[in-house]
Amino acid sequence: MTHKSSTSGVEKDQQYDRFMSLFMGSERAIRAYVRSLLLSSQDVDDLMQEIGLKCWHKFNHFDPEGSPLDFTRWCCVISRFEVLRFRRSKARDRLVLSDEVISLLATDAEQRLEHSEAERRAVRDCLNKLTDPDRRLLLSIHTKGDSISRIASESNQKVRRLYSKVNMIRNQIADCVRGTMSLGEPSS
Amino acid sequence: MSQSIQSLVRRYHDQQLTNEELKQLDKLLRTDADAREIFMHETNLIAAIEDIACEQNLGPSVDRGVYSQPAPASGASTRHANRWIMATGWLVAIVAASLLIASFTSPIAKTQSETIATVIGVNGPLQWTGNGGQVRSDLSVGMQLPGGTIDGVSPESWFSLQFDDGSVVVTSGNSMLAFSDLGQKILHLKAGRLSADVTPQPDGSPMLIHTRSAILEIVGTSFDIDTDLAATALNVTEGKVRVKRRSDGKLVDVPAQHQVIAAADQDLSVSQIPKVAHHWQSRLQDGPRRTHGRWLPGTSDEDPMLGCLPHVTEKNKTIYTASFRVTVPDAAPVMTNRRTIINVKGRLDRATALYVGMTLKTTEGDFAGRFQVVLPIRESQPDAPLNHSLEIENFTLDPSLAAMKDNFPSSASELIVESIWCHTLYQQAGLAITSVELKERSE
Repeated sequence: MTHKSSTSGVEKDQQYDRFMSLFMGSERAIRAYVRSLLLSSQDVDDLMQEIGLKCWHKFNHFDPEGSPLDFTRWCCVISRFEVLRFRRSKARDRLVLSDEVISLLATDAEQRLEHSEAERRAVRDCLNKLTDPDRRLLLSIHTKGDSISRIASESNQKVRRLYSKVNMIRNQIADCVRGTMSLGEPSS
Repeated sequence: MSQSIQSLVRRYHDQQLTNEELKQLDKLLRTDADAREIFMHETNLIAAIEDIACEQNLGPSVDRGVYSQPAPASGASTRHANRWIMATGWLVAIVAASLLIASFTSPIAKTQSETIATVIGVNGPLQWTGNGGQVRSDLSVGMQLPGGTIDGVSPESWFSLQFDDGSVVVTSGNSMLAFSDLGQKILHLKAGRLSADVTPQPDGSPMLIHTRSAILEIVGTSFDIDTDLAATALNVTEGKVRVKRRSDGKLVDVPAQHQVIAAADQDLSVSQIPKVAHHWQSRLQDGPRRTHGRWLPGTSDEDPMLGCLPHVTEKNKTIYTASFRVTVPDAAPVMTNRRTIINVKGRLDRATALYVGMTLKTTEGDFAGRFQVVLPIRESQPDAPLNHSLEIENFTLDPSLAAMKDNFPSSASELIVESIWCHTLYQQAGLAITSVELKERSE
């Protein structure tokens, strides 16, 4: 680990480039990690910029020989504290899990970073196997943050039935991901 | 048990848990590692679906079909859709700030990232997007680049890049290639054709080429790739390339003079590069696949047609072009010889000069130039069917490649045909092609 108290402009420039390259390569993994600790993707949106800046401010503490995976793990550790801080500011008005559970989940999530990455790739492959209407239904809900009841009223279907359908599609995806993972990790 | 945890986790993420249920979930997660694993799996699944939905939101709008809904009214939804833009936006801001700071703190500060490769050939409209979102379309030979993305924006585009270790990659036609080298060369070929001659790479750091359907690992070899949304075709000329199919992670090694097609719906089997063909015919009746143009289906009175699409050249002129990919992944390479003739049929709304050309490559996969025939205006009759038979010896090197003519064969014969294209240069003359055929004339 190194800490440079002063760096020349050229070194600083190189440091920026390296940080950008590493962060952009890790951003999805960090985001997914943070997502596993927060209740909604909107919370993640709110926090990601803070996390990015925090990582940048601490970047001279990151091992210059560290691999991209090391960088992702390092960012996750920083993110964990940012998540806990963020949650405390929100806890009063939300139904949220306890700090103890969040810490346990964070530890688990850090240990399964590569596995999670493979799972997300498998989700992409599995989504492509859905029929178009099913895929649209699942993505519409997540894309717009819209309620199932709104979609139900627009498509003249019963809420309960549509909710069951979404659950069924999720099961289908979950089974497909498990199947893919059992065959070996999908490609990157 | 696992189903009840799964159900609780889903209801948690859907924000539908009661206080009691939340306590139950909290207790389970605190005491049961398996429950936490299910929680992680479910959450990760949701995160991945959110990402895909977000990417879809940033792309072109799609017909939402059965479950259509109006555009979101709330700012929060818009913010959700734009999160990737936001997430990287601050990075761009940091870079801008860093360059500003660096310019004050050091008189010899670099103004761009370290370069990794040099442009050694460029032709036709191209666009480079570099670090921090810098975009340039004035690429020229000798220009050094720090990585980024090269877009070939027309069928005539061609780009050759030499990395600092001497490895050369070439893209041609409509293509998109992202490249980087932070100790390991990593390329992403989003679309189009790429050929490469790669010098031996460091141990443990092979060049990696990612496509939508495969990952190629190259230690040092010559090969060419043709990729589209569904498949990646690889022909290896020298050496060996390892291919990993994305859909199932299956690996194969492709030796010299062999080929493979990586697609989810085909066997990943390695076969010898087939012998060449000397005959090819367009098949517009089957749809617009492997064409570049405005495809019009046939009617009871008319055959299907391929109209021209405009593209802007590097000199800011608009050319109207229709083109056909000829040598394709699942068929033998189509080769010219001294008896080759090209038959072109179609129509022109207005009298104008017609350009018919071929983009060619050598049997080793190197770009061999574009050769064309110009049919003068006197040979065109507006509103009359267009029907030309063009002999290979009349094809000459595209004048825009004249400065590099020593790098190309002197004739269009004995070369592999990548594509055949027709245009009316800067005139929008209503050119539409109904068929193109490449064949050998009888002796």
